Amino acid sequence: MKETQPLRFARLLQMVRSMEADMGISALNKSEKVLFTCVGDLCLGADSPVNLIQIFAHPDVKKMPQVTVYKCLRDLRAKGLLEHVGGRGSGLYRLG
Amino acid sequence: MTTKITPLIIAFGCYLALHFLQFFVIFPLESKYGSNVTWLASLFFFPHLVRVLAVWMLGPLAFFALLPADIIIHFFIHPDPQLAGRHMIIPIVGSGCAVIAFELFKLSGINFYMTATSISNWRPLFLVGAIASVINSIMSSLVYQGLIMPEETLLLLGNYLVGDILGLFIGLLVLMGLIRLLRLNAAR
Repeated sequence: MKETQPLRFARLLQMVRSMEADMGISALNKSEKVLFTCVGDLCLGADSPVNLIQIFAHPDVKKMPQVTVYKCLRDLRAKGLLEHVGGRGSGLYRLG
Repeated sequence: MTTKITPLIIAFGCYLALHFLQFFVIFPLESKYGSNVTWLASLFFFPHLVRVLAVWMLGPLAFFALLPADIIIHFFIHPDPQLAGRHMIIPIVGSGCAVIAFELFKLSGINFYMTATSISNWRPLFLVGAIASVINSIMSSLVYQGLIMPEETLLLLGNYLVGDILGLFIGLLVLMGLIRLLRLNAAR
């Protein structure tokens, strides 16, 4: 992959986040990280949405209480890492 | 062409700025409260962070961004009159130690450059920075041999080593703090 300026900066941020994670002061808690990774896993592309049924069916999310999943979705949206797609009740999310 | 030169200019600027901070703020504080050899080495040498990050991100080419800053500092801003005839060695050693460290690891089969890995973690970077610090310490101590008391050579070597490593670690912490602040401000 060609090293562009934005990619270099993203890698620098990734390095800093790894330090945060090791120090236990990461911006995402464990559940948020799991959910974020799952959505990333389920997305076919950067802009393709994922629906709630697919998220709940993911092996890593199946073990999480529903309340926790909804809370994490809300928190990840507040942090700008996920976006809600469509109208109220659409149940569609994509990476922010 | 601009997209290729800009990162080098940024590396040069950051390296020079941190050197100014080092020589005009940190060194005076340390010489007031530190040991006798601290006019040569600092216990918190923050420019080492830029050396390591620049080489990690830009590859060996970063040497040509770091060297001019080192030359400006050692020849014009903070020249050491005792280094007669050896002036050029210190900037070359300082700018090149990180490149040598990365290349040594590459020769041994472990490529730590940013382009070689898909995931960026701070631990390998810290390891390479520590090795770069060892290289810098040994070579700088050899340059200053004869200019300081022989019994203080080990102290100087230790000072360089600790200074570079602490500067790298605390510099990374400061960088982490700044990025968190930016993230918090952006979220508001």
